[in-house]
Amino acid sequence: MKTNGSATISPRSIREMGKPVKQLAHVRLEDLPPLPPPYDKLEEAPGFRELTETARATYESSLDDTIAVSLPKPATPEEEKALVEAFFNGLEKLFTRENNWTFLEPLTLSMEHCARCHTCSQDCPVFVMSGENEVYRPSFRAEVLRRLYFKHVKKGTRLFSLFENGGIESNWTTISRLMELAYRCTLCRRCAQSCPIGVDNGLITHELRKIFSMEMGIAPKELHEKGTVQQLRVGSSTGMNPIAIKDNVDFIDEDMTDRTGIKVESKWDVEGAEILLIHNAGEYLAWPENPGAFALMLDAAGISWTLSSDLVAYDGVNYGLFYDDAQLARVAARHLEVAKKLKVRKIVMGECGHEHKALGVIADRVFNNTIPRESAMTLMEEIVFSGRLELDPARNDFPVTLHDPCNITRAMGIVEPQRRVLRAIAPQFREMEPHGTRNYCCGGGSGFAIMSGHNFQDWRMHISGRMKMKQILEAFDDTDLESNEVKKYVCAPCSNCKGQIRDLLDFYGAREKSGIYYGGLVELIVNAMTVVKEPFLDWDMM
Amino acid sequence: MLTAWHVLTYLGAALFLIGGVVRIVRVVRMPLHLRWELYPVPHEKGKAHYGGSVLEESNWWLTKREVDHWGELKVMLEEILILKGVWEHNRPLWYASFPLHFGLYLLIGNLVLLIAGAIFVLNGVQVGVGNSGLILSFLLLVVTIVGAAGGVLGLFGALYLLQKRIFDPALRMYANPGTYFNLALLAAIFASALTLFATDLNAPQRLVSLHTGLLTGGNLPFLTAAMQWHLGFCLFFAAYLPLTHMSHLFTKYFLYHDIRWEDTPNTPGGKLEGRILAQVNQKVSWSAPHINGQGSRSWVDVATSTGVEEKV
Repeated sequence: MKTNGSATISPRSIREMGKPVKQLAHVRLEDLPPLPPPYDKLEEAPGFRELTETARATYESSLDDTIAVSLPKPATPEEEKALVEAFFNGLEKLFTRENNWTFLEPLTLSMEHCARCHTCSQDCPVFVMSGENEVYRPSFRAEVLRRLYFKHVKKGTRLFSLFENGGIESNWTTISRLMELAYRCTLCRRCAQSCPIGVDNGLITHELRKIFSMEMGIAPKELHEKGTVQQLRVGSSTGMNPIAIKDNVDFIDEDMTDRTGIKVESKWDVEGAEILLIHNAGEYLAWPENPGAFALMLDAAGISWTLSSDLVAYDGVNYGLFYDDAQLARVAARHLEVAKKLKVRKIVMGECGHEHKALGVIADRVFNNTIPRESAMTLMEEIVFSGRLELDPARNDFPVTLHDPCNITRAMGIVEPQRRVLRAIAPQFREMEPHGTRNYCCGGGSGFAIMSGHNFQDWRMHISGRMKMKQILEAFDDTDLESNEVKKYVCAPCSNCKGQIRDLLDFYGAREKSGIYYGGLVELIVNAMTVVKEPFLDWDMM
Repeated sequence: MLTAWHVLTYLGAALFLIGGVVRIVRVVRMPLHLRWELYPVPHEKGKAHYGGSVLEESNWWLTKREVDHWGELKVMLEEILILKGVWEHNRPLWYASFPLHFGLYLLIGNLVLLIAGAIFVLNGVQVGVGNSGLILSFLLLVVTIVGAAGGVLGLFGALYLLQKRIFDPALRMYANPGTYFNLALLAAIFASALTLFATDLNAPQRLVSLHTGLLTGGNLPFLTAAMQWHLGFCLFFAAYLPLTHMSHLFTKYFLYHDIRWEDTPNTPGGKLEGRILAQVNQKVSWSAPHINGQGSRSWVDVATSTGVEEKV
């Protein structure tokens, strides 16, 4: 029997956020909605590791069963007081046009108009798949921040504010829990899509993260120190400098050439190329066949393209999107500068959802006169239907489903190109339900896919990723999920989503048990290319 | 002769308008924000039905942007009139929220009819006399039906919502004293409207006279107790609404058009360039070590530095 301790705990009032109890919320595995068979047996489910006593004693951890930020507890009352003051300074700055012109209007409107009707709740996969634990309701953290806003920022009488908006304790307990709670939402914005008024709880979470990062210098190290800071300093959040990336790509090219019998040679810093292709650099390390397949496909299609070896420009990652506008702007600025320097006609964003959003739409209003950006989905569609490649769909004759990255579909409306490709090259393509702009997040959004400190991975496997696991299993429910003989492919054209889906399939043993594999879109295209003599997809290596 | 009702009405209307204008001006004057649209965006011609956008097109920046205003209008009307979002995502609440909202729309519609009636009267039209008089008679009949229907629907909705807010633990947890007060106030408005029509056969005519008197500053008819209560509740609600979240009446337009559906690209020489330039030159004061704004560095300064050198 896999269990994780005592009965479920769920707050019963908003004010409990400031109540000094050891743990505000606790989720029992027994109370989570079951996955479809054969993954529905609790006794066979992986466990949920408890936080160690040392971790509990060292870091702020009074919210729930896990830790995302790892902020050491303040050592003295003075330190605690300073943190509280810094938070409220940040909260005030968040509502000034100088500091937050980027999101002032959407934030203010979302703060002031929520009807607390909970129409958003059932659209949140985290809330639903946590067994509806109150602390994960999309409006819960928004409501806590809203009360702090009306109490400390919004002008008006204290009494009226209490009457209209309710009260909240302005103590470190509330704030430290808010800090952790800011990292229990994947920013998928499905809740915002269902709000009849237009309130965006995902945005509120995003803005909350900004207070901690931009004012207090507090963010998960995977996103900040090892993420954007490392990317700006070394060149990539993976830690690869320009020499390392070139070495890696050389190796990938050689491997691709060996595997396919076709000479693959990636291009570097080609001035005046049609396309500057920017991949999420995680691909080079975790899924090298993806950039390799792009190189092969682009050359076969006769497209003029290049990679850049300039710092930052060979990594499309931009974690600033998730927590910090300054870091977002810095990374995007480097991407755009290099494109101008190379005089390319356009940037193509590789299979990475948040790169799409950061560079494709957000950067649009941070800088003027930028090089246009286009999605790899669009480019792949254009290539597949151009007739420049000879494709044999029979090579992909196995069950394929498509995961829609939130940032590509819901945030950008790029829905059909990837589907048209799959319909053309994968005879057994089937949709997940729901899909397109109503998709569910993989559970690794907003940086979670790279966050695994303490037992955070257990949380994102059991809770934030649970809905996606359910969807994947349901998409293949016409096959025998008790057997791994029929190989099934989850196409996830996004690096972070792939990371999360990889972890989910590993966690639940779905590869061994049910033959479920995952990968990107370009791999399926190359797998269908008749000039590639051997099947490109190597199930044993996946 | 001006009475206390005249003064209260003008005050209530003025506070409603001022509150609304302040809310709207405040939003309009806010800086251009980063793109944060959510798809489906209904003005995406030919693509809105599946949530697609122009960004699906190869070289989309060379494509002429086609905006489907009818598509937007259709979605807005569905959202406002039948609360489609609540219907689709929170059906149990819709059965309470829709009657409340629709009851309110009917009472607002009735106000328009009563003002129209007052204009008839001011132009010398008498009930039942001549063609215009027949129209006025019909209008009074409609006022009765719409007013009573609004009262019934709205009262049902307000009481049902109140019941939900009290007995549903999830809703109760987020409710504030103001939540109950607002619903009770709305219930009082609807109940008094219903009482007004149910207890006084001359209510429509009396209401037209009331509006004539209020519009001109002239004499008011005898006001029944129900009428006085109804007027009082409505005036208080009008003055109070802009102070609450119910001011989404004024701002919902912006939440949809300025944010959820706002997808204007920043093209070279386009209308956004100047606004963006002004904003990125503002000084920031974020204090985290990697920004260290201190009110002396602009957004451009921050974005063109690596953040490493800012650490102190």
